[in-house]
Formats: sequence, C-alpha cells, structure tokens
Amino acid sequence: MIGNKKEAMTSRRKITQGFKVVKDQEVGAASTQPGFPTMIPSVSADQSFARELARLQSLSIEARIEEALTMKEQFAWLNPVIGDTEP
Amino acid sequence: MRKLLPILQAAEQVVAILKQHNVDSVVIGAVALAAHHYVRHTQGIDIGVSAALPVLQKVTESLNAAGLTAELSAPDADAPLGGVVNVSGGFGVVQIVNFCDRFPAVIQDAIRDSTMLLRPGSALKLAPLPQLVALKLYAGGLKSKADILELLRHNPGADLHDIMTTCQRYRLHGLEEIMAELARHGRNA
Repeated sequence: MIGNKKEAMTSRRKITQGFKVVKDQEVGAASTQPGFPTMIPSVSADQSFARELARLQSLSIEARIEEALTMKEQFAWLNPVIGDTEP
Repeated sequence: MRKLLPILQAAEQVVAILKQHNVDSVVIGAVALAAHHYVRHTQGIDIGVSAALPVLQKVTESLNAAGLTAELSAPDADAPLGGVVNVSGGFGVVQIVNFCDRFPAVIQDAIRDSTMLLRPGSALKLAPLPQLVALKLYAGGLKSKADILELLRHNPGADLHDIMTTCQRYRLHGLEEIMAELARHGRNA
C-alpha cells in the first residue's frame, strides 16, 4: 500500500515536471505563452520540420496527394477507445 | 503505371465530362496544397471552374447520366461562390466549385499558369501557388490563414513577391500579417 502511494507520487511528479500544477486538481497545466498566437521558435521543432520537408520534396506529386487523401486510414489507429470502467 | 485511387479516377472522369461541355478546370483546395508539399488530411477533391449556371446544370445532368451521383447547389445572390456540384459515390466526394461572376480571374489564371499535373498524361491540373494563396484569402477564416502560413513554410523557394503582387492585383487583403508571421519563421518577402 505504502509502495503504491509512493509510486503514485513519483509518477505524478514525473507528469507535472515542467508544468504548473493547478491547485485542487489532479492535472498538470501549462500557461499560455506570452504573445499567443505568435509561435515560439524551437530548434528541435525546426529540425523535425526540415526533415519532413525533405521527405515530402522527395515524393512525386501523386504520392503527396495520395498521402493527403488516405491520411484518415493511415492514422485510424489513433481513434480514441472509450473504456467501460474507471481506472 | 500504378492504378489511381478511386477518388482520383472519379476526379479524372469529372474533369473529362466538364471538358465535354467546354469547361476548363483546375484542382484547388487541400489536394492542390498537397501537390505543393503541404500535406494535410482531406477527404475530398475540389475542382475550380468558372462556368455559367445553365452550363453547370447540363454538366450535372451529364455526370448523373454517366452513373455518378451529382447534385447542384445553386448560389444565393450574395454567396461568394457561383454554385457547387457535389459528386459522390463509393470513392468519396468530388466537388466542382464555381467562381463564375464572383472571382473568375483566379480560376482563369490558375488554368493558364498551371504547370503541375497529377501525373504525366493526367487531365487533373493543379492550381499554382499564387492562386492557391489568393483562393485561401478569398475564403477567409482562421483555417485558411493557417493553410497559407503552412503552404508558404512548405515552399521556401517560392517567389513571395510574385504571390503578394498577384493578391494585390486581385485586391485581396490580409497577406501582410501572414508574411510577418512567416518572417518570424526566418523567411522574408
């Protein structure tokens, strides 16, 4: 029992690391960035974008269009699953 | 050569029927965005035309006669579009979007300046970047604004001056703000 409580606290600490903890709630929350909706630059996001752009540029026109038209099927596994019991 | 997706086959058939009625067409919307490296989810294909309403009625009849399910939605007097034909089937939806008497220049210019086809020999012409941006400005809304920003981010070699000049020629406003956001991403017009 004590082990479970300790584990839950450690897990919560991990979840809320880098987030502002909202009082009286069991959720972590981040503040809206100042200047929203202006995007905050991110080197890692820029690198990821450059890789994706290079991939898209290497595809044919038809392949890019097919990707857009079949995206729903490609990401069908992302559909939410609603459980019937509370954790 | 690889077989086309059923929805692309349907779009080829729709364009061929439009051609029988002397209506030139160009692919606009998310499919054209994808051709220009901005791939985002879409379930349908939008085909831009500039045709008189009676012609569009005849096109609808021909589409139905060809075994497709086509329905024309006529425009209201103040509507920004000159009517839409929904062509549906097991393949999904192909929309013929009419800009006649509203914004015909953008479709005429897109057809004239298009250099991209779905594949060699295809009848599906893809709208050029300046006209795609202009159509998004014309449509308005936050989604269109985000589409323009992403479209330009995905085309770092695009001639931004040409795009701005084209939109100014069409008397469309709102691009400056998006260009400023783009500049914050490291690109300048």
